[in-house]
Amino acid sequence: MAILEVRNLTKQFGGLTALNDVSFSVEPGEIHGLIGPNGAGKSTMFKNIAGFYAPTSGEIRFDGRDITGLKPSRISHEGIVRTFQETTLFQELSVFDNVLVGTHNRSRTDIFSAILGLDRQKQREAEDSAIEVMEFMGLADRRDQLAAELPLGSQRALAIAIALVSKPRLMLMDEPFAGMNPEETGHMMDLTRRVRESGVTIVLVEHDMKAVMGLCDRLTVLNFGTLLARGSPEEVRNNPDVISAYLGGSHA
Amino acid sequence: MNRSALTHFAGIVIVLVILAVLPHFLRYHHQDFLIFLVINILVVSSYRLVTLTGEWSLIHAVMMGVGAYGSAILSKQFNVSFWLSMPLAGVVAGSVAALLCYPLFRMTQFYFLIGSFAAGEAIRLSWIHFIKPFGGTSGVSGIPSPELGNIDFLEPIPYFYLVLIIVTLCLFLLYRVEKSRVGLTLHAVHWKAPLAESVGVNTWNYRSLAFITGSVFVGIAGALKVHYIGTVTPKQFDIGFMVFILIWVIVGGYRTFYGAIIGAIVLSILDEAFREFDELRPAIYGAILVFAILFLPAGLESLPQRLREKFGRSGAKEAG
Amino acid sequence: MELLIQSIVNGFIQSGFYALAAVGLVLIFGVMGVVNFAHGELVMVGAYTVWLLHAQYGVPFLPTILIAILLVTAIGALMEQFLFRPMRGDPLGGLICSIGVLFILQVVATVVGGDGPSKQVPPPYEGTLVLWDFLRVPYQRLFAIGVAIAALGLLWYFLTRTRLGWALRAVSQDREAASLQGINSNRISMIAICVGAAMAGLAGALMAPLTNINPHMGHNVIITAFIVTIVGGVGSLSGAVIASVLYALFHTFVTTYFNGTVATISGLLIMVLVLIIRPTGIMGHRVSE
Repeated sequence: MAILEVRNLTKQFGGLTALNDVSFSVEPGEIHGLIGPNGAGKSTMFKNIAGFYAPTSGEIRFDGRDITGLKPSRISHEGIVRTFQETTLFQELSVFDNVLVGTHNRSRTDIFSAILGLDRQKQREAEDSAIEVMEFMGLADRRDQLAAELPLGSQRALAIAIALVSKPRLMLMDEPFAGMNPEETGHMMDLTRRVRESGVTIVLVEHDMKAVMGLCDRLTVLNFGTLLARGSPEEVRNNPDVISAYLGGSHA
Repeated sequence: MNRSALTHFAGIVIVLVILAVLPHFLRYHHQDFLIFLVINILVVSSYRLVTLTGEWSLIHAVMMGVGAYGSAILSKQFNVSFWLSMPLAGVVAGSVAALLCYPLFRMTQFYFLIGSFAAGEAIRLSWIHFIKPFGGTSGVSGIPSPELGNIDFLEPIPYFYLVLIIVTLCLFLLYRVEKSRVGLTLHAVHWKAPLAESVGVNTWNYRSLAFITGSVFVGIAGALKVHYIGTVTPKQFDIGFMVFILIWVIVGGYRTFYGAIIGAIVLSILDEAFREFDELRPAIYGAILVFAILFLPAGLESLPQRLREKFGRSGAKEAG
Repeated sequence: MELLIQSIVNGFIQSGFYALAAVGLVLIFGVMGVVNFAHGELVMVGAYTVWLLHAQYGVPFLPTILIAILLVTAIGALMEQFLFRPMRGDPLGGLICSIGVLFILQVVATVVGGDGPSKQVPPPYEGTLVLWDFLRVPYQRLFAIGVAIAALGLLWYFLTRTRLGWALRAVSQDREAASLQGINSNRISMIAICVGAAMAGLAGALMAPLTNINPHMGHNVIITAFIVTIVGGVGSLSGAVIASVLYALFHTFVTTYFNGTVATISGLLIMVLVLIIRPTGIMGHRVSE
């Protein structure tokens, strides 16, 4: 059974239709690419799934449960975590604290235990899992650096670490390769595969075709807010509609 | 305990010891000043908790008033002892804050600022309008001072010790909150609310939590103030006082726990020094505020580092 | 009945004053993103100018209005040049700066006018228009509302019919897009604050003979301007004008039948209510995302 199922999703802003009746599904354990030319509606789709927008109509099911229109924090409780397009991090916090914020869902604490010091055990657990994830993402030796001071590759790795430490079942990655050189891209692709191997299903919005083709098991192609094609990278690459959309539209 | 924590601890003990003996070397008038200064330290520190999530409210002074009126009315009309009415002042302020959360936190930034200002003014004008029980413009007077054995809390020195103990305890609690994971999450809500939401933080809850907790502590500060003065009036908690709180925090700096406290201390002492200029004082404050935000945007707390950087840079220039 | 009609007329006249104060606040916030807390003090400076020049030194009323406008405009320009421009992109910094200015202007007013009771300016236009025996409108008030309407009309013409006005509205809609189209946003900000300050100065000058003048009169002005701005919809000038009329009528009524404090409390509660139910105000529109 599909872990994520998007059915007939439509999103309108005023009179503008950003997504029109789009359906696709994601299987457990796969890396699923969501691609399309600029303005195809990829980011809008993302924000709908992660709860930042409420769909105009249609349904989003996660693991068989209807999650349509829930708030972002609720969605993340369900097990879906997104990363952000730009280097969206807590810039003024250390790497360690950044990751620690990500443990929010798994080990809740409240203000009374915080004042009375009753949350030692939870605090220790949270710190342990933060350290574990930092090691997993190769950030252990940058623990006390400020997020703002990291090089681009490490910032993206940190963004994934924040998401990963909340132990999601589905991770939505928004253009993780944007602005990277080939070497950084290669490193990032390895990290992405490792995340998948740890048991997390991944949906990826990306412009970098090389990375998408090399990484994804299946692709969903959007164009002008509608579904253009679905299938394996091979099938999509040879799909005439896709070719003309990419050549005819912008050369993204 | 590691070394930095130890120096930390030693520093706090030294400050407390100095504060404990200080009033014996001061004249009556300056002892008063010291009491209000310590209370104002609690005011700015509790305000800092509210601003941790990035929302600058303009209702904090009024919440202090809510606590002050609460304690005054409880002790005067219901004969509740100070020792109970003072913590209840925190509860009253916290409860009013909780009621305000629903309307206020539907807004952010500009709207929140104006909304909190409006709600505060509405509360303040209610004190003026409802003579019973708030006493109108002249407020409530004859608020009893605390009773404990045969200590005379009308005298400044005993009251100073009382305030010092309660404020130190409150600051300790506030500090714990900020350094806990709750505090970390509040920071996170401030810097990148969408990212915090995406890892499951309900930003509305955390904004409310900071607002309510800050209000509880400032409510206690309000009670401490009016049980010393003996009178509570709407004028004490007007936008003018709110602006002073803002100035203390901005001039001191809002990146560290100590910044706001430094701001309150330095500016209060300056204010005391300018006492003879009387009517010019607000203008001096205004000028300090403008200069601080233009030339020292990170506050007094950043001064040591900026000096270091400046000397470091000029040194590098010579080397280059 | 007579009281009712009299309140309607009084409320309507009051609304001109509210609108003049509020449009400046809206304009400055819309174009520059700064909440000008000193806006009430700009109005106060306008009123003080009339008190000082007209009531103390006998300068004719009309020229003092002009001088008040010029003086307040100059203060606005200085604020933009030395405070708001360096603080661009930091709305909190701008707000704090304006609070600093607020204090300074209040103290200047205290020094110029001295402490003590509020000041009065004897109305330059004496006499009262009496209609149908029961409706009495002093000529001074007629003059004030006439000039206010003319000034608002002029502003409307400027914003909708001139290139510069168009650029101003473009910046307030979307600063970035406007700068892409080659609009110099620094210049537009300067114009916005000058226009806004001029309106505030005019408001103060017109109201001077009709109100109590003291260094703290700005407080009520800014509260009113906030209420009107929020209820009308932040960034909407027509909304601010409509809300001014509605709120002035409301405030006059409640003041007539209850008292001024109740009127202000209910005004503030209405504003909070608007913020809850429709944060964009009656004429505002939601900005996407």
